[in-house]
Formats: sequence, structure tokens, C-alpha cells
Amino acid sequence: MARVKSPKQRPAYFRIRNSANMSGGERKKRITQEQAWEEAGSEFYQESYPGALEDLEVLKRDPNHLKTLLPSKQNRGAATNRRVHETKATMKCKTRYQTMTVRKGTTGANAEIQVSLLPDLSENLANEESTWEEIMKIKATPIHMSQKKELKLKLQSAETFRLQGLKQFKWQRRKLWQKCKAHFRENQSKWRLWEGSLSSLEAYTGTGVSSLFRFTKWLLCVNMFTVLLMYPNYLLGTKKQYNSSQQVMWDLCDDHNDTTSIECCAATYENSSRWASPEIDLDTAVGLLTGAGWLEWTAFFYGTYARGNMKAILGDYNVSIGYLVSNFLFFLITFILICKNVTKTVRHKIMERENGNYLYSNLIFGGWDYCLQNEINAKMRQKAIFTQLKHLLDLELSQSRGHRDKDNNLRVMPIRLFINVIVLALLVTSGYIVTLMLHVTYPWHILLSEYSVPLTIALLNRIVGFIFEKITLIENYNYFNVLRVTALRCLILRLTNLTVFMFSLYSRLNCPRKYNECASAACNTPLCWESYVGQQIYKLIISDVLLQVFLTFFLHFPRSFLYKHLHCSSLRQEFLLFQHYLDLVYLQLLGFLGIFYAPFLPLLLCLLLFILFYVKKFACIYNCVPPLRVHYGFRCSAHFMSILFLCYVLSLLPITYSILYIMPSRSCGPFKGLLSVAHLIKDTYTQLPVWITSSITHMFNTPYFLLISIILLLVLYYYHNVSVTNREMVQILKKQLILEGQDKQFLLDRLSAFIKQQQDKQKAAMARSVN
Amino acid sequence: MGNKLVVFTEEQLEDYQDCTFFTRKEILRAQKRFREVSPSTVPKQMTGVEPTTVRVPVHKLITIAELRENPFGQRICQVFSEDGQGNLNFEEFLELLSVFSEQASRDIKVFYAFKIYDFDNDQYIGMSDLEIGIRLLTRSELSVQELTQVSEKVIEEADVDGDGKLSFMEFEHVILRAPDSS
Repeated sequence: MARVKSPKQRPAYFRIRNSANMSGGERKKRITQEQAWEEAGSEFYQESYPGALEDLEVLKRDPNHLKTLLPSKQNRGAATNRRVHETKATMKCKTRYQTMTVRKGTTGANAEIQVSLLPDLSENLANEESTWEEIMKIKATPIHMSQKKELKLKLQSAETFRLQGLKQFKWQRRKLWQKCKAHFRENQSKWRLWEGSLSSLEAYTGTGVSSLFRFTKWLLCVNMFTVLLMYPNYLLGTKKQYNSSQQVMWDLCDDHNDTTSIECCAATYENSSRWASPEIDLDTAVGLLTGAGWLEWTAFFYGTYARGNMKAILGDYNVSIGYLVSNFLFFLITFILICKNVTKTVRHKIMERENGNYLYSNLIFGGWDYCLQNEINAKMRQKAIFTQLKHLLDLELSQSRGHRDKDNNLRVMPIRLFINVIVLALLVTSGYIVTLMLHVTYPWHILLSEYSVPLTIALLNRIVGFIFEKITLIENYNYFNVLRVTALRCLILRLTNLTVFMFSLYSRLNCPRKYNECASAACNTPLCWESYVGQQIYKLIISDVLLQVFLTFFLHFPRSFLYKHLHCSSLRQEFLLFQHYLDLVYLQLLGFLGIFYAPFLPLLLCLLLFILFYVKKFACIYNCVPPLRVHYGFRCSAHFMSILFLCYVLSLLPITYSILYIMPSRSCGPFKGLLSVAHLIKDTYTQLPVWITSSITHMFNTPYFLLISIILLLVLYYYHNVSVTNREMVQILKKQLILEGQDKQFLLDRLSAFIKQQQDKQKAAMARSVN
Repeated sequence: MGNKLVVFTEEQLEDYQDCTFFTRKEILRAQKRFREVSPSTVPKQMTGVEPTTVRVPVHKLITIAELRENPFGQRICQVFSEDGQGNLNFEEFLELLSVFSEQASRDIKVFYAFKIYDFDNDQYIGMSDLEIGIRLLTRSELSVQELTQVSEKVIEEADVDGDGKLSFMEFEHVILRAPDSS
């Protein structure tokens, strides 16, 4: 094989002044092209291509050499590097890009590396700033280390680069800053939460499964942020007066001489729940678990927040407004955070749609997890890739047999229909069981009666979920859809149970109450229904987490222990990623639902998420065998992020309804005595300065509103058209690329044929001259 | 704490910091790892030309934790070595670790990934390259027919200009669309 030599003995970097191959017209054409093409052109364009006259000799000897001189064949690794970082620089310094041919006197892989786009030293690097930037970019240049050092030396010792005075100072300052950043980065891992656990998990199971744990971390951060948000409200809003003796409350009540005044109601409420009646023996632990007793009287629940103005350092703080505002802010910020994460998924899906699904390529090029260090898991990963490939191939095969698939479909349809009916029946049954449990009371122990419903819901979620897993196997879905279908069903199950529970709560509390009554006379509603709802949600959360912990340690662990020793295949359990994701999303959904009624619920969630991280880590490492599936971390977390978004939207519904339509309780909370919370909003709105209210009314006045909405619609329409056009453009460009490829091949073939022809002619001429 | 052993000169450390994505501590840690692989040949101090001259053979290199379970371990060493055989000196080893670290830019990772998958070094990933790669990836458990099928499918998916093999541009295109990069 002819060893390709770089074109002659050119110096390390050369500048071509005489553009003999370029005419003025061509240059003009180049200038008038669009920006995008110009950018691409400036990157790939060289004023003279290798393969000039002197190389024709070489070509004659070996026509195949021609292929190696094609511009696209040169390693464009550096080119793509620079393109991303330097489009700004292109416009700024108008750097002329040249090629540097580095001859490596070695055989093998690195015979010819052309590193494009090294800046011309004599032109632009008069200031140290750009030199610094260039040196920083050395890191990202994919050349050998020795070359990098040479490059750095060259850059630093360039003629025009002299450090004097101020420049020297600036240079030193940059170096110092760089050192600081490096130092900071080194120590970062020490104070980042769970950094060690996450990296060890990644080494064990790969990035797919560890995405679950990163999701946990993200949720924890969101909840912690919420706690900070709620804190000022707590600080300023909880009524300190309740700490005083009962007598003061009754005094206030007596003052008004009206048993149904707000103060009297509040006093009654406090009497009944705080200074508890002797038959309910609420000690600390029970109080903690049920949310009644002492816990009800902390800032954790809605009940202790005062209404109206409280004295703060800078003036009066209206607790009711503050409460509303902090909740509103919470929902807004969560919305923004989730949206940011969801847009990534959406973009990715759109790209997938446009560019086609890279099923196989992703598997081959992205399938291996470079973080895996555990031997068994590595083997399993390879097996997983193998299985996935096999399934993909099977899918192809079954799809290619067109009508045969239809038969298969017909056979499978009734089974699937039947199973779906069963699923529906199961859902209905579980909802019914929940309602049943609500009406049964267990008088013998308070914990049992309080926890009967939440525990039932948690148990049902898991048992029916387990049944769903098993019956999906009968349905003969293809490999990829099995998990999706099961995940969907489990999600619907949990939502159903929750909805049933919410509705039953609502029906219990929805007794009509006259405005002046403490509590509804008709039915036995609690005096403070918001705290009651908060308590129910609190119990739901605790029961779910407790059940998870219990199952992990007392069911799955013995099971895996037995599996390791008995090797019975029915005992095998995989770390079902979607189940754990669903647990987390469900927990967060409960958090969203409950925050209005229990402002410090996120604090509880923080604690529980912290515990759950370690529980799930235990489950992953000790209970389960390594997964037989290739999990794509990003895809999983993105998918469940969108489910979280859905849950978020769903959770807004009950809260909005209760704000707008349900009368707040008269005995507790920041809204006591109001007809509805919406009235408070209206009152506050009318109290705003005139210019705000008038401008808002103006804005929502029909003509302006119509105008704004028309403009928005037009903008939407315009962007829609742009996206459609872009899509078409992509198709056109793809076709063009293919044609160019074919052109190139054609020309290469012709050229080699031509050269060969010339060679033969020469040989014939020489032969004739000899004779 | 007594006589502290100077492993590298300040100048060397500066150079390495500028040329890789590592910080000072990480470079020293890398030197320790390099030494662990072959304590007999690698000296403690590398203030002279040792970083370029002392080479560790490939069969010892692939025992380090990151490369041990990697089916492409040997190929990775070959890509980063100068002679293509896989025996790395310290600088190349450092480069290897730097490219695979978290701080490395995506572009440089894609560049080296392309080189890794290009087994015959013809600047293209062709059918043969893919077949070798897949065989390594799945531990030779696929049949020959399936191997060819899968390679064909990959080329079908990723090849844009229709030449039957993947150029760097096409490879980059696929990787950048992939949900997560290694």
C-alpha cells in the first residue's frame, strides 16, 4: 500500500497568497451567498486544495491516492470543534483559516492528520486575550499530546506576543482565576450531595439506572427550595397567641358575646383538638403518625396560620395574602422548572421524528455504558445489548411478513381486549374497595382507624400493580411495549385510587354550612377541614413510604436471598425502573396536592426522599439482579418528567376548585370568616393602586384583548410555517447530499479511469520509443 | 511532613493542565494509577523525559478499572497510542483519561469515539468495522447472518450520502441525536 506523503516539504503552517485556482467571479459569488453557507464555506473552504500540479506525478503512480486527498477525507474532528466555539470569533477577528499539516513519522493509525483551523499567528494574536483563548482551546483539539505542547509553545513564543506591564498583569490574573476554578472544581465533589453514592451506583449499574437516583436528587432540591419559600410565611404568620393559655381565647370569645363569632369558633376548635379530650390519648408518636394532636398545632398544617395582619419588623404583614402568594410562587416556579426539563424531551422527540429513529445506531454506538465497572453487570449489559438487538431483528422480521402479521394481530386482539376488560374491572374494584374502607371504622385502636384507608390505598397500588405486570405477559406485546403498557396501567391505577379518595373526601366535607356556623350542623364535618385534608394527605404519604420500606426489607430482601441460594426462576426480581420512578412521581403528586393545606409538606418530602434514596439503592444493589434491558437514562428520566408534569397539572385542579368554590373553615387558618378564598383575592385586587387595576381592566377590555390574541395567533401561525418550511428544507438537503455523494463517486471513478488511460498511453509511448 | 516527592516539575504540570481537562490533583492521581499498573517500569518521579519514554504494554493497561470490563478496552488503548499497538506512555494515558472524563467537551469525545469504532483506520466506519464492533459488544453471541443484518441496518439508518459507510460527519450526526453520550 503506497504510503501517502503530505504534499511536499511545506512549513508547518502555510499561507496561500496566490489563489491561482480562484477567479474574481468565483470570489464574488462566494461573498454574495447567504450567511449560513458562508459560515460553512469559511470552515471547509481552502484557498488551494492539495493535489496541485506537482502531485500529479504521485497520482500517476497510484490513482487511489486521489481519494485520500479529498477534503472530506481529512479528519474534520478539529473542524467541528472549532465550528461550535468559534462562529463568534469568525465574525470578530476574521481569522483566516489555514491548514497545518503535521507529518507523523509513524505508521499505523496516525499516518496523516491534518488539523484545520489553527489561527495564523502573525495576524491576530497581538493581544493576550485571544492568545489565552487559543491556549485554552488546545485542550479540545484532538491531536497528540506532544503536538499540543508544541502548539502551546508556539503560541506563547510568537513574535507579536509580548507580555509587558498591564498585559502581564492581565495574564497573571487569568492564570490565577483559572487556578481558582480548578481548585473549586476539585473540591466540589466533597460538598455535593450523594456524589459518592451516585458514582458508585453508576459504576455498578450504569447510567440508565442511576438516572432514577439523579431524579430523586432533583426532586429533593425542588422540595428544599419550596421549604425556603414557605419559611417567611411561617416565621411571620403563625399565631403566637395560641401559645397563651386557654383563658385568653375564651375571654376574646366572651367579649363578643356571640357563640358563633370567629374567635369563639377558633376557641372551640382549639379546645377540642389541642387540649385533647381524654378518650383520645394522643402521645407523641401517635400524634406524629396521624397528624393530629401536637402536630396539628405546629406550622406544618394550615390551622395555626393567623388571619389578617401580623406585626413584622418592617410593618404589617398580611398573613392571608402572604399564604396565597407563597403558594402561587411555589406552583409557578415548579411549573418553570418542570417545563425546562420537559422541553428537552419535546425537542428530542421532534428531532427523532424528523431524522428517523436511530434504533440500531443508538444501540451500537451508545449502548455500551462506559461507567460500568462491575464484572457481572458488564456481562449482563452485553447480554442486554444482545437481547435488544435480537428483539429488534425479530421485530423487523415480523414486520416484513406483512399479512402474516395481520393474522397474528387478529389472534392477539381478543386476548388483549379481554385483558383490558380485566384491567378495567380491577381498577373499578380497587376504587370500590377504597370507598368501602372509608365507611368502616375500627374503634379499637386509633392508629388502625386512621390508617386503614391510606394503607389500603398503598397496598392496592402495589398488589394490583403486581398483577398488571404479570398479565401483560399474556398479551403478547412486543419486547418494547410490554414495559410501556404496564407503566401506563400502574399510573392509571394510582390516579384512579387517588381520585376516588379525593372525591370521597369532598363528599364528606361538602355539607352546606351557613356562613355563621362554626361547623355544619347537618353532618359531622371537622371544625377545621383544611387541616383534616392535610392530615389525610400526610397519612397517604407516610403509609406509601412505610410500605415501600417494609416491602424492600421484609419481602424483597428475603426473596432475593432465597433466589441466590435456590436459583428458582420465579423468585427472580429485576430492578423495575418504571416502578420506582412511578413511586417518586406519585410522592411528588401528593406533595403538590397537599401543599396548600400543609405548607411544610415539602420538608417531610425532603426527609422521605432522603430515606428513599438509600432504600432504593439497597434494593438496586442487593435485592435485584442486574437488568436484562438496555435502559437509556435520559429517555427514562425525560419520560417520567413529562408524567410529573401531567401530575402537576392534575393537582392544580382540586386546589383551584377549593380556592374558588369551597368555603374556608371558620375556626382556623388564614382565611377564616371569608366566604371563599376567591373573595379575598377580589378584595385585595380592589385595594391595589389604581393604575394597576385600571391598566389590567383596560388590557382585558374586549378590543385590546382581541388585538393581543390576534397578534399572538399570527405569531404562532408564522412559527408554525417556519417549522414546516424547515422540515421541507431538511428533506431537500438530504436528497442533495445523496446526489453529491453520487457525483463525487462518479467523478472519482472517471478521474481514475482517465489517469489510468494516461498511464497506459505513456507506457505505450515509452515502449515504442525503446523499440 | 518530611521530604515531599516531586513527581512533576511545575512546568510539566502547567503544560498538562493546559493540554488536558484535568486539574493538578487529577493529574497526580492519574500518575499514581499509571504507576499501579506497572510499578516496576514506571518511576515515581517523572520530571525528565519519562512521561514520553516509559511505555506500559497494553495487556497490563486493560487491567485498570475503567477499561477492564469495557469490550473496547484494547481498541481504546490502540487509538491513543502512537504506534497503534496500544502501548501507552504517560502522556497518552493522561490524554485517554482526560477525553473520557466528565469535563471533556462532547466534540472531542465524538472524535475519539469515531476513531475507536473505525477499526481499520480508513477514516470511515464500514461494514467490517461495524461487524467487529458488534461482535465485541455482544461477546460473539450473534450469528454471522444476524451480524451482517445489524450492520446493514446501522448503515441504512445513518448513511446519508449513500456511499455505504459512515463518514465522520454522519457518525457525529447520529451521536449528537442520541439521547445520551458515553
